[in-house]
Amino acid sequence: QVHSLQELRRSASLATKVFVQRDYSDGTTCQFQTKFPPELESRIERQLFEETVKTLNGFYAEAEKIGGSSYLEGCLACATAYFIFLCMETHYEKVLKKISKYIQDQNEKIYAPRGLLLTAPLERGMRVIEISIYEDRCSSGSSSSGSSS
Amino acid sequence: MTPGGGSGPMKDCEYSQISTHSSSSPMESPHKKKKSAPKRKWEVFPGRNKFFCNGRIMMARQTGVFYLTLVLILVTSGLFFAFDCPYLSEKITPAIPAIGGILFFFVMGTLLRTSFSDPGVLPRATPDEAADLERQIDIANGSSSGGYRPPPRTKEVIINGQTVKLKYCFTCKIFRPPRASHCSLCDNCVERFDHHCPWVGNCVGKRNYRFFYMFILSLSFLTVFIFAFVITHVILRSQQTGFLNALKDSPARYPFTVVCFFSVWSIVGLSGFHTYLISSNQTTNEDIKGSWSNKRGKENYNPYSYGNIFTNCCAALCGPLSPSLIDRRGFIQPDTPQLAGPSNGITMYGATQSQSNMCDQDQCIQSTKFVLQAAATPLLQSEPSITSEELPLPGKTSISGPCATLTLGQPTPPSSMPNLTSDTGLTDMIPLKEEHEGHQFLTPEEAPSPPGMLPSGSPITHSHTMHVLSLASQDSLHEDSVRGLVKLSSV
Repeated sequence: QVHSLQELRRSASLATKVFVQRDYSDGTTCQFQTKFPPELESRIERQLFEETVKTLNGFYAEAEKIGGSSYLEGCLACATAYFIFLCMETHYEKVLKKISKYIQDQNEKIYAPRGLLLTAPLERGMRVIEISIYEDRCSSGSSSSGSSS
Repeated sequence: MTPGGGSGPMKDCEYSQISTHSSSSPMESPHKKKKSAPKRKWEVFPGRNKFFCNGRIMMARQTGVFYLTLVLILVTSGLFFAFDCPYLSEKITPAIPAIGGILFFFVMGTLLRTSFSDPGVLPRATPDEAADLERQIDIANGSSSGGYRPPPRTKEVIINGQTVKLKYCFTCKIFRPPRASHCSLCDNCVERFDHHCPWVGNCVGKRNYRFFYMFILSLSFLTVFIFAFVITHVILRSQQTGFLNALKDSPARYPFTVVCFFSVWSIVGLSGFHTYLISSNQTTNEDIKGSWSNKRGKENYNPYSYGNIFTNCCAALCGPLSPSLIDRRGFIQPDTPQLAGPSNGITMYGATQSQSNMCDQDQCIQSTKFVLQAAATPLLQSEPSITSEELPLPGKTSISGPCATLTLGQPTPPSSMPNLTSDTGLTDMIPLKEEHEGHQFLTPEEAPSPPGMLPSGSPITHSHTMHVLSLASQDSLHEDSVRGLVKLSSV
């Protein structure tokens, strides 16, 4: 049986969303908790999830790193009265591009096949990693309701 | 208050002020937007901010004092360049107007940058996020008996050994990150909130603190520079023609010189104060509340400080600049879920990892993957345009008055403010905000209220609750998930 396009589009629905919160134990730097949410128990392996979060944490740490290159950028920007940002993008923005690419990659390879979808933290005010859990509205009605808490 | 109805094509730099405060139009406009051109996010922004140049410029609502600042700087510097510089460049050196000019442009650039940029506003929680948080709070409070009012919503975290309390913001429906605070004038939570400065017409927070500091520092130099050379000019002239004759030349500018003299002290004082704050890595807010002072206890120390002054300064001034989180110029995504979008060229996503145990039938697995592929791509490609900083327009100067006197001199509740109407408004707001910190919390935001500013008490909290709810209602996808959550949580 081939589902028509409309039917296919209707056959998955959003069941719930899980929010991975920020981890503030290191201060105000952007880090997310690696605690495995119970709702994902049946959906994805713990190790894959933790790896995703740890990699994201690494990216954000890199973006916010205070060191020689960030000082240089800051001083140069100050010297040009911050006009230089009109032509050049900041180090943070470059890392954010890498992050969005990584998330897209993860979604395609790991999360979408499991009926999950990651939303980049930037779109949620850097507060949470939102993971949407999708369920099939299968005609057989055998969709697992494992996403319920 | 003009409702935000500018849905037609927007010319650049066309002034279109948005006032979403207690106005019903932002709630209606999302429903209309399917027929009209897509709206940008700034047009439905829930805070009390003004946007210009199609979302590129963002300021607080009350900008009157900012224009005063501009006028003061511009006129004083203009008079200096017009009347003193010709004489001084002849008599002493032409480097004087050159240095003055450089200082002037630096002051203007930093002022405009401070005033026009996003201070680090935290976007409000999406309905799903808010619902999830509410659920977790209820679970945490769950075992307490009904009958007495549940305790205020706080979360404790340990940062570098210090216990820090994170408070729940009822307006934004989030737990505020450490060092964030809610500005009642702009009705936004701002990261690393320092204070609301009416002289620059904006909050000072994480993203524009360094511009603010550079502004007051360069302004101190500029005012000292101008004042010193005006005095030099008068002295030199009076050596030639006598003191009274010297004063007779262009007497109109002497009032400005007097202004300059008084502002020197306040601005230099403010610069000194902020230098101290930077070197100890504190915000004005924290300093006023005494969050990290030794008086609270011997074990109390600032967990954010890097330990030495040099690192603290470098981190504050030369650290990385985080992007704006509110994506002012992004377009509001259509409400209908991406699942129902047109499907030109979407290929079947034949993933081989079929470890999902969602559905027994292959067709179901494939359909979900297909749909998620379709869902993932538009979602991820609609990256918020990470707005690099706003265009600093060619500047006018002003001598900004003392921010310090507004922030420092008001440690007591706003009753000490000269503007009586704003008192009642602000004190009215205190119980309505449901903040259990009371005066201590509200003071840094309430104190520097610009003259004539009167937040009108209860409608604010209610209107913003309505905004949040309206955002929920417009998003059918989210509505489904919220219903789903409600069902799940009721199990």
